[in-house]
Amino acid sequence: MGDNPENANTDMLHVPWYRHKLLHLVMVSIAVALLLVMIAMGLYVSNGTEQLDISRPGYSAVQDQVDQSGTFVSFSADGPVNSIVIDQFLKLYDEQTTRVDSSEIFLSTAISDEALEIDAP
Amino acid sequence: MAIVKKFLIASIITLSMTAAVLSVIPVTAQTQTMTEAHIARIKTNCGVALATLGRIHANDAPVYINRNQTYYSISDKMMARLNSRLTLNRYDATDLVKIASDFNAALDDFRLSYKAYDNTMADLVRMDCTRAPVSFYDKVGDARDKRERVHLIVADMQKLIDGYRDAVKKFKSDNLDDDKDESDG
Repeated sequence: MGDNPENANTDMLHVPWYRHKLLHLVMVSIAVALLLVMIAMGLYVSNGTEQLDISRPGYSAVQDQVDQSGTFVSFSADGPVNSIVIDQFLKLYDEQTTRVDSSEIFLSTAISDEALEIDAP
Repeated sequence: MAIVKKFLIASIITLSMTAAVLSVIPVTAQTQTMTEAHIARIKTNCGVALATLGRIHANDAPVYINRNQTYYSISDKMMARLNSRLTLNRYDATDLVKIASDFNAALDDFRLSYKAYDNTMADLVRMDCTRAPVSFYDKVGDARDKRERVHLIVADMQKLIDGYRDAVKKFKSDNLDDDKDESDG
């Protein structure tokens, strides 16, 4: 009697909405998705990726200042060692370290009280 | 009696010194106290300060990204590779390895320090300095200290870059200049 498919379909119609398996599936899926997003955001903030993300709001004006040329030349880790090789290394080293040869960055005077006009009158 | 006198003199001197130190501390704290005029100035120039901070914060990002990338490349594509090549050719590269190791440690420090500075600046530009001028002022001081820390690490890294170059030149003069003379001869 109860094995009749017609009866089973009728029973399904009388199940309360909060006991539907489909609803449970959707809710669990949303919970898992939220958990994964939270883990991803935690990693994004904790491992320093946030600081490298120039697509954040407020950074669109400075996006073109990021060097995306990828022109840094690698020195070969294989091969003989002689004076000529070391000279080649030094030449390459000098060329590539000129990109960072200024230490006059992140000066604290840029955010001094005077610069921000919040010094004591 | 003489011992008692000495004890009394020593006690008086100790008490006098303690009193002197304690009297100086409130004066020092007093200089940190903000005047009403100062607070009013912060409130008045709040917009200017926030705009300046926002601009600096945005401009710092590409500078950091470019530096971080170049420092990593110097370490990974130059220092590590030369050290490996020297070791494979059975040369003693201890000095160079030490500098490269120090450079990597400084790079980690650079990233961590910048992250701390960046987070402080992010908090700062979101603050309402008209409502909380004193907290804002303290936070600016905190951000300034963290920015200075990043600056000092950059200076240290520059010294390590220069030091590595000097060490390579020394390695060459100690180990290879004779080879060149022989090949020239």
